[in-house]
Amino acid sequence: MVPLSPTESSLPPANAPLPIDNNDRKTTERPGGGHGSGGGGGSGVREQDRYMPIANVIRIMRRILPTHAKISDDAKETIQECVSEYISFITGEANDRCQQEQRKTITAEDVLWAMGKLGFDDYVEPLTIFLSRYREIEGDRAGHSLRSEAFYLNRRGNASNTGGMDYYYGPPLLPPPPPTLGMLPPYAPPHHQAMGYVDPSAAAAMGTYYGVGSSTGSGSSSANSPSQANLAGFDPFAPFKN
Amino acid sequence: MRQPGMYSGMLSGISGKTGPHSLPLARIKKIMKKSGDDVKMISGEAPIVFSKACELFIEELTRQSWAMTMQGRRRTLHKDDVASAVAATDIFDFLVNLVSEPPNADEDAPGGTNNIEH
Repeated sequence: MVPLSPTESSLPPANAPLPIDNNDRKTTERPGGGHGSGGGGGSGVREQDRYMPIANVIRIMRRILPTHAKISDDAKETIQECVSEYISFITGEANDRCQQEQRKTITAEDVLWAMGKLGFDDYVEPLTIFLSRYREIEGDRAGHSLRSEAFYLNRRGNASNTGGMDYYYGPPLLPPPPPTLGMLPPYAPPHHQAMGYVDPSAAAAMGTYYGVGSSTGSGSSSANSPSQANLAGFDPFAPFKN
Repeated sequence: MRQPGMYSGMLSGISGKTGPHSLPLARIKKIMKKSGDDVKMISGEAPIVFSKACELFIEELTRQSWAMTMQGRRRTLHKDDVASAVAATDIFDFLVNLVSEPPNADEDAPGGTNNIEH
């Protein structure tokens, strides 16, 4: 499966008639073998870099199809190719926009914008919801549930410094790194109210951080009321319960 | 056309990056980078959006393709069904070349149109 594996690298020589060869063909059967050669353009690019894993694609297709449905191999490969084409299609449009606005980084918003422009309007709303939930949860993970906006601004700043390629997947429920605290806005949100939305066990886990936060600024509770309202209907720790 | 609740489970897998079964973000980023020489930097959130967008896309393409399979009273979804679905759906126009041209001219259809059979 891995192109650089010994079996495969020893494949071109004279071992062709061996059964092993057939097996290898099967694993690489798809676009890589089938039309990597014909496509030619993929010179040097490994097949596994050009397409989504076929198992994932099939799993998603199966969600839609009735259980008795069968999928031919060429249909699987075609869908697999279509997904890559889709990503390129949208990215190309998003990238054009970035260039017009003289920005270097393609953001999630650029991607959403491109989808809307290219006819995938139906996707924009669910994806926007998906993204905002993702941000909230990621923000919560770092202990920043009430400052997600400022927090993301800070992240963005850091991201551009580091080349913007990092994903920032912090381990769950870990207090934020000390440097971030220095970049917080002068006011601090009322943490004791925040606790109302937090699962007790999670709150205990985050106790260290919240202790710090409330000592820095228990003063202004009015400044943050809008964000409080936004969070009222959303339990950021729902995924971590039970 | 869409069943209710189609997106209802979409956030269920969000814990832990974007979920255990979601599409690989690194792969998505590679494909994004490859889509143009001038693609410079990609925000970490962009592949996350794509991971979900691709699911929606695969689901929609599969749904339309399966409708074609059903029209033909078959039980196996073939490449032709995908091609028909692409041809019948405006937003899939960008896929027309991909599904109608055989990737390997020497393989199945030297004539260039292999998408009508049965």
